[in-house]
Amino acid sequence: MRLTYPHFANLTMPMKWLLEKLDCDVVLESHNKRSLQLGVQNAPELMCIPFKLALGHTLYMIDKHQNLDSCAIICENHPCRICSYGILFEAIIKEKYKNINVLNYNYSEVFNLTRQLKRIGGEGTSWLQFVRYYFIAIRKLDILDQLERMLIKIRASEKKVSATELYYTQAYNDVYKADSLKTLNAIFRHYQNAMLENWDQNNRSYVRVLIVGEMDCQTNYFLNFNIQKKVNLMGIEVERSFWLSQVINDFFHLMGSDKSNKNEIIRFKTIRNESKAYFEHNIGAELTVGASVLCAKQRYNGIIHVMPFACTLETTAATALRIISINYNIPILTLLLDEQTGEAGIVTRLEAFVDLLLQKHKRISRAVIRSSR
Amino acid sequence: MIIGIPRTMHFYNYFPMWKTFFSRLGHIVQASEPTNRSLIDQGLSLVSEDKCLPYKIALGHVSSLKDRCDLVFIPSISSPDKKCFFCPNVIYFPDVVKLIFGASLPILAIGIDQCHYRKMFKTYSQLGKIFSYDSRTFKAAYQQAIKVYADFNVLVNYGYRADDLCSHIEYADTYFDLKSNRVKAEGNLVILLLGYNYYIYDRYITFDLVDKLKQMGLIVVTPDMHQDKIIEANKNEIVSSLNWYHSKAMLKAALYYLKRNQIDGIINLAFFNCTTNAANTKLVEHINLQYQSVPLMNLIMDEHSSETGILTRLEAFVDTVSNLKKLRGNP
Repeated sequence: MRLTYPHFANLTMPMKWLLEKLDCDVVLESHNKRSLQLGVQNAPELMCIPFKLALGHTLYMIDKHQNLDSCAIICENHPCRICSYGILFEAIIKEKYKNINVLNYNYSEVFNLTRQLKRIGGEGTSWLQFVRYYFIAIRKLDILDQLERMLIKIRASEKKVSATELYYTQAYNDVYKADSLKTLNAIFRHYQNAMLENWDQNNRSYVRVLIVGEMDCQTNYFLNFNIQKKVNLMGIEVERSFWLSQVINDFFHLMGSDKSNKNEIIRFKTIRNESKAYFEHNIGAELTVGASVLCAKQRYNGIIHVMPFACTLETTAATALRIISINYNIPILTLLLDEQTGEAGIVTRLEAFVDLLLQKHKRISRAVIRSSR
Repeated sequence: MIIGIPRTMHFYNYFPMWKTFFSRLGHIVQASEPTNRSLIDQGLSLVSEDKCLPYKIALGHVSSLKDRCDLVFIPSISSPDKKCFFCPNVIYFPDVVKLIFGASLPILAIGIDQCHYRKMFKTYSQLGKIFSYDSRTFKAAYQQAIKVYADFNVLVNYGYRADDLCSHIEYADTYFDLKSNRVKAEGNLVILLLGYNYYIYDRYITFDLVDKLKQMGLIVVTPDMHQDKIIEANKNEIVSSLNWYHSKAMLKAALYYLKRNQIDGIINLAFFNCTTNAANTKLVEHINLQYQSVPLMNLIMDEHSSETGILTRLEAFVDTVSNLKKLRGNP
């Protein structure tokens, strides 16, 4: 089977490794202008940009590789547009290419999803083997997320410039090749130490911001023009509210084993508790709002809110964010991302925002010094 | 006590029921006035521009009730179908109203589960407790309300316009006197108007679309008519895997009439930035292509669209439909 699927957060690489272990040929390429154009042409006009990117990538791969025979899409039982991804994707691909097999996976039925994934391997793989691969893939995702989380923190103040990013790329390649949990842990420890050594803790940045918002906008560097790096290079530490591995941790937490810190900004239960003052219903907007409230309480200096144009949940959250900004006196920058968004516009707004943050910080610290005299 | 009910969202589905319930308990029920320009302006100033127009108007309706009543009733209703959802905007509406107006507007927001009979009774009995009534008065009011709701549904299924039913009834007892207003089933062309209750029946923002079509001599069918028959389309693959209640109803109606060859054209009426309609436009086209395809028009509007533009497109569409019918009739 020759297969392609859309990129999603750090899952892309572990998924590729897993499918290759199941004797499946995976073709992938990073997003580019052509694939975005294909997506915009073929998707309905008002559909959100993550769907357009997913569709465009698949169509681009089908055009490029003639012997491709199937493509996969993931959807979820959820009131937002994500619930229609599967049917729409299937309808559009089937209209254009009749002999391509569309695998439609539902993310909210975890056990069913696992069974369907195993079926790709055919009779050759036993359940025992498959479960082993499955857990190694989850561990890979976890390691990638943790290293990336360190990267966007350390890159703001490093001893040797751009060395941290180099370590991350090396780690990415090594993690892909690793075959057992033991080697994975060794790789993780090695690169963690290397990154920490490169961190100039004495000259650590005193300003930090949190990126909240829609998950694909946070994680897809083609879509958000890598704002993490842009903000880092201005000397500011970044934290992100969405990590895919945390979703899995949250799932295991329900089964009674969550080791993460209680006040951690990415912990779902904490976030949900914080958002109760604003929203009664838990269908997505509460994650953005809760993370913002928590970060305001933990003395972050600013919030960057990213969302695709016309995202229903995030526009609802934006209503609450305005009130939070006043209540907690924290600056919020909202960035709308779309196929029309230009990089220069984003950079200008980010620079102005960072300028304001630095000035505010200076003003406050001066006032503190004056009062202490 | 004067209880205000905004003319939005679930108004055209449940208003007769709520009105009977509250008036039996001895309150005055006041619906907000029909949409007009000043209402829209009020709504536009309250919310960000990324939302759809019906949503902005809904906020306008709520704010117009601000000084005219003691309590505004905005329930959050879970979908009548078990596995389905309403659009997130509808689900979050009570929360957003609370956020925007704060303490300045007293709101009665309660979650109502319309799909379980017992749970529904529980929530309504909670309402009775809030107003502190003894159980006998409350039960009588509740039973009357349920009866009116059933009658209302029968009439809507039969082909009455839901907005006429909502505006005419004063008391539940005079309910069946409306028969003189019945929609007449005569004429040549039948058009399926796809859209949601809360804007199809709004005369101001759709520029009287239904009446205009009727004046042109067409019969208009909407998804909430003949619900009991349309259920058979549930088995379809696309319909069963969709999670939005409203879209599901629209696709079911389209499937049912297309299969039977009962309609000559489809108008898909939607507003810019509608969450569910983003997918719907494509899916309706897809279904239309599968069966004997009829002319299909996607009419997407917002607060800037003008009456003349809509009228021109409607006339052109009706011409296409009638010409096609002549061609197919006499080969």
